[in-house]
Amino acid sequence: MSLIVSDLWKKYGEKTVVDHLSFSMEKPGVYALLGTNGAGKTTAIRMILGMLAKDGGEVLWNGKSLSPKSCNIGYLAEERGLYPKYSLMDQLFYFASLRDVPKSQVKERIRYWAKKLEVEEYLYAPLPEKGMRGKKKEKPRMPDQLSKGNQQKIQFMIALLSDPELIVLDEPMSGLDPVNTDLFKQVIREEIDRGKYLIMSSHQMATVEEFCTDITILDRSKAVLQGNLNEIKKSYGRVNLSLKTETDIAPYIAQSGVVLLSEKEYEYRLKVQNEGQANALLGLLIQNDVTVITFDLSEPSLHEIFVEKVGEGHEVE
Amino acid sequence: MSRHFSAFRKVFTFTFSSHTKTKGYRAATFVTAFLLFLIPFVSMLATEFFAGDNTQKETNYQTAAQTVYVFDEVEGDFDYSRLNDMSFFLPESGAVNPVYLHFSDIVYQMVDSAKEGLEKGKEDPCSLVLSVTKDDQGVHFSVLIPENSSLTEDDAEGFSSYLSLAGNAVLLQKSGISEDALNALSVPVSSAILTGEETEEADPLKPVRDIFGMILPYVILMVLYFLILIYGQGVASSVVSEKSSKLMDTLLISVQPKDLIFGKMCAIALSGILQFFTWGVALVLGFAAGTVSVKALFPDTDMVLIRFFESFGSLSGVFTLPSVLITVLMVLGGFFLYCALAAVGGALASKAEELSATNYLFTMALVISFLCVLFGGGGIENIISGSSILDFIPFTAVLVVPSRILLGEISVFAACISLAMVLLATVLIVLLAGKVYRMMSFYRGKVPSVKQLLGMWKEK
Repeated sequence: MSLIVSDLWKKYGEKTVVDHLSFSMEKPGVYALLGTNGAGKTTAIRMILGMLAKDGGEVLWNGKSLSPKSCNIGYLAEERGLYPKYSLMDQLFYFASLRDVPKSQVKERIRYWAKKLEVEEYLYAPLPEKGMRGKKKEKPRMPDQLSKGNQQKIQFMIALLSDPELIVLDEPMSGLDPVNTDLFKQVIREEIDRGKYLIMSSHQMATVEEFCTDITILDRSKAVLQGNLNEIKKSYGRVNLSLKTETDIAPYIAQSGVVLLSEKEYEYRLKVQNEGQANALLGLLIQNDVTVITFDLSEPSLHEIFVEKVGEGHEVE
Repeated sequence: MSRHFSAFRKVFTFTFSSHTKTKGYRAATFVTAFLLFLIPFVSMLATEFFAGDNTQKETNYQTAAQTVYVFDEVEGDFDYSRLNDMSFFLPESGAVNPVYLHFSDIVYQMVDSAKEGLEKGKEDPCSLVLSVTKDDQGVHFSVLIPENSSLTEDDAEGFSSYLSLAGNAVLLQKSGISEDALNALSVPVSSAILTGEETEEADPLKPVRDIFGMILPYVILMVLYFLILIYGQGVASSVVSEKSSKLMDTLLISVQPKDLIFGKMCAIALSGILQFFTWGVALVLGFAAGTVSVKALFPDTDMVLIRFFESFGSLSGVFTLPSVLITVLMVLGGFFLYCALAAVGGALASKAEELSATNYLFTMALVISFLCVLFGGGGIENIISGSSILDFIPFTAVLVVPSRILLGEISVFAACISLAMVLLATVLIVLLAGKVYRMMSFYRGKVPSVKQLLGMWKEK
């Protein structure tokens, strides 16, 4: 299976909102669509999924135009909600039926995901205790009785109920507490292991880095950086230096020409031009009998690459 | 096609079951139905109970006269004791509370002269003498009071009034006419002016048609107006609910806008029809229970409402089955047509608060059509015989055709064409609503102007 997005573009009036976006996924994994607010990520996703008419380009799934008919899609939208007046269970059944989940499997799948995402207590009434027979039946839970995080879990369930081949997650972990973030991450990992194709849009760079093999960074509707994340990082070289010492080394940093980013109790974050410059600084410290506790030379983080690419003039979340 | 139908069915089923499960819907349905049952039931009983006996009165004027000596010099025989069995409508009593005069238990004795009668009357203080004479001016019924009589002039006058009403019957029987012929002559006679066409093919149901011709346009217009105003808003609210609930993306990945709109519109419309039908049944049951109870408790009742209900039995020849079927379909078609317009309003709004601004679409269309029907055809009284062009404009057709087909003013074929146009217009408007919904699905901001909408339309 493969997903090919080629030359996708859209204009609203005179304004181009997605400018000739192309990328592909040849094998299962996670593809990240990154960008500032208004860069065109959600519009691109909506066009990819056929919800929004495109002005040009095509999206192919296994060589055929991508649509809910040709591909089983699960979508957790950035703008998400639930019907406030209808019970959670009714909504899950409704969306399962719309996604053509076989009737015989709906209950089983709802129970599986409810357990997985730890929302059983909101979907199922507890079994009556001994001696409590005849107790009034508990009313079905309504969405407004759930916290935002738990509502998000129900929405994630809706996206996964049809056991989709292609899962599109737009800001899946925004607003979640660390425990639930880990829960979502675990589900995402399992879906990757099950050979699913995922497209993820997120502002949480650490999360993207954790899962994604390939990325596209959008800036003002254009793709400004694209490719395999490891290769992109390699192309930048190891330019981040973390250094911890027992004494103040500010004079040596200045002497070596290395850029000091931050310092806190002899812990330094530095930017070097290349590995040679880092080694020269290390040599200078040893030469001057400075005890080095930590010397960690690494590639730039995705966050740094993102900030560099989209420019400091943008608001970064 | 099957995929579209499948999506429509799923949206319809969910929307219908969810909507009819809500507390608000159930409370409105059952509380209103209960009231609609109770109010006519109680009102009919109370009206009958407090109105008193307004039934037809047969007043038995028990005059003090016990014996009447009759001197009759007019030719022909008449058995005066039959006057005891006769009663006559007193014209001055009026139609609302009619009074019928009836003198009974009087002994009539024939005498050879008025003098003889007066002589006999002297010995009977409760007697009168009736002298029936004839001259050039006609027959005279004279009531005489014998000497020593305990009867007053008022007693004699009451009896005289009765005789003035009974006189013709007396004379007719004297002429030798049979009793059957006399009965035949007693039926009420009315007169009317008829045109040439009407005299050629006399329509015995014309009075019923005329009454329904006046009532039906109002009833159908009001029913449609009521249905559309209440449930049109419901359709628009349902259409906008995904936008309010931020479910647009989740839903559009699974279902086409036109299937969504069609499913929602049909579900809300059907739940409305179900609710309205429940209310209608409750109202009918209320009147039925009221009628049965009034008849059981007041067997002599002559309540106007009950007589009106009983007149429904004569409708069987007025309406034909095809015309009734087309009427029902036309009313339903009209309801769906305006619901489709309401769906366009819902599709235009980007949140529930904007519905008041977008609902003008169907309310304006309804009001304008209503005014066209009122004034375009020459007034409400001319809806039935008014301009036929309104039959083929979907928005006005739904208001006039039901009455016109029901009363046979247009042919079944013409009504079928009109119905087809209404259904076609409904489908086209639903498709338009789907297109608008797709256009507006991710639009944020104020309700767009017509120019903006046209711009969006061109943008695929």
